[in-house]
Amino acid sequence: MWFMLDTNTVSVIAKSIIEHQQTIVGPLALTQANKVYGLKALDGGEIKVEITGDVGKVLTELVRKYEEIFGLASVEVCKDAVKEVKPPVLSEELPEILR
Amino acid sequence: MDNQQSSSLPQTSGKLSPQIEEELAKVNKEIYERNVELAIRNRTLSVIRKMYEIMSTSLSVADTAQRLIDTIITELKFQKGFIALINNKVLKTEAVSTLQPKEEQLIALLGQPFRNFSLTLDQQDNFCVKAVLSQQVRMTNNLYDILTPQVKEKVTQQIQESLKIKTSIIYPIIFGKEVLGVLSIGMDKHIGSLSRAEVETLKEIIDVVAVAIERARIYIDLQEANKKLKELDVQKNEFLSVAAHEIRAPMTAVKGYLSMVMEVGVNSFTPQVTEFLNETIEANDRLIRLVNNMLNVSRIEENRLVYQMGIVNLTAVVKTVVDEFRFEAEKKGLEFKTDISNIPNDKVYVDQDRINEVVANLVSNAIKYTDKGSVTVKLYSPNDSHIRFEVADTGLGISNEEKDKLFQKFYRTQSSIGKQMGTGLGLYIAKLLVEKFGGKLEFASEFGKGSKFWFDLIVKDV
Repeated sequence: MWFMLDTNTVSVIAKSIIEHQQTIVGPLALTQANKVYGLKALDGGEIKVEITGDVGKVLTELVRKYEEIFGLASVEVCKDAVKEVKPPVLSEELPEILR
Repeated sequence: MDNQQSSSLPQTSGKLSPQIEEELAKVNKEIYERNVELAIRNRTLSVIRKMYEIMSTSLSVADTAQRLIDTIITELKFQKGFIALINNKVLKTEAVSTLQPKEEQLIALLGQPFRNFSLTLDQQDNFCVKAVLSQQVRMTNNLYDILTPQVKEKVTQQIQESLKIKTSIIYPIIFGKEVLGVLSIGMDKHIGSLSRAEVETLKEIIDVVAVAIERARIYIDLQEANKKLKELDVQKNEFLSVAAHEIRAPMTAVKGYLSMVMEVGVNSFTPQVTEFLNETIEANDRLIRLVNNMLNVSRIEENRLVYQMGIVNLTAVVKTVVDEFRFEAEKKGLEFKTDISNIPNDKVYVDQDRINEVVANLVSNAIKYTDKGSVTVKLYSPNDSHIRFEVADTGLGISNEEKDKLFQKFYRTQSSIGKQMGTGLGLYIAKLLVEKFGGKLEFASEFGKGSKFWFDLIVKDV
């Protein structure tokens, strides 16, 4: 898949997703995020996300990690989280799971 | 070790069975879904709480509107917004969300379209006017729909691009049945791209905006009404004071001349003429008392009355008043009872003449409003630190409807109208004086059965 977003933007998206999940499941959000290969999330007051490798795969994996435990509702939460990212991200630029 | 007979869960090699795992996963998802609702609600409530804080700390309409629009735009991370309110059928900008300096400069070049927004309600091409008239939310991808006809379309396009507004939503601000104005929000995405939390919050906040604006308006109206009332009160007091002075002088002269006439002609007047002259003197005295009361009211209210404060023996004051009014009570056939027992400490810090006035007023009222039965005057210590003066009668009593008005200036009870009764100032002055001396004038009454008036004063250690 040809993924168009840069690492920076994906980090911002991932941060928004983790923050939104945090409001629902608390620290579990960070724990699950750190299980994703290529993603490192730290909470030192504000969430910091570092992504390495295939950014598209990392983002997809992050969403799947939440879906695994919390079901489809968590995917909707991830989509909502993306909607609130600034500047807005075009749907076409996102991985399939987030469209 | 694996045979844990005490365990009630079916297990396979130390793990839970697939059924249990499935159940747990289901529960997990249900809890998650509920948490999602709670999280959205929490976000909405957090914004609403900030808005209520604004409501309780802002007073002017402009300040309220500005803080509200700034909070909405900041919390929901929208691009820009404004609140316009209706005044005399014109929709005018009240507040615009704070612009960055560069944005300010650009908007200024384009003629300040938001701050100078002013539309009559017949300009129905404008979406804000449409929202007001239809009382329904309007949405548009074209900022021109909001700024027409004040701004040209080309200029609007420039503004829209520079502010990165893709969609605008216009909410009518409705309080009760009245449309107060509009709240317009510009966002950098299309309406379908709003998250659930954003949609829910937008739905809820518009009602709060309406309440906040209406509250600020009511506060301004109340302030103006209060100011006018205060001005009227000052004018009225000034008038009373001047009128009373102007009236008192000639009346005092009349009294003087009447007294002289009585002195000179006391042996030559017929009994009828003497009676007429006595009635005239009494009427004149009543008028002088009324004028003095009006002057006193004016002085007390403006803190101009000079008090001669000192330690006063309240028993002596009450006894003097009782002696003064005993004959009047007995002339009406009333039983006039007194209970001015030995009180350990009856010393109070008051103006003797004024407290005499209060006691006399209460005793006089009791006798005036009682046609049969009794009037009882008491003086006693309800506790170690106070002394209580009390007068009870078996007279007309006061109806429930009149109880709240009893101490109002110029208020006369229905039972007194048509009779030779007072001016409605006695109780008002008595109340002010008792409060000045640190007490409180109170009463209890039952219509048709009688009334009791009392006040407590702090006793002084001598």
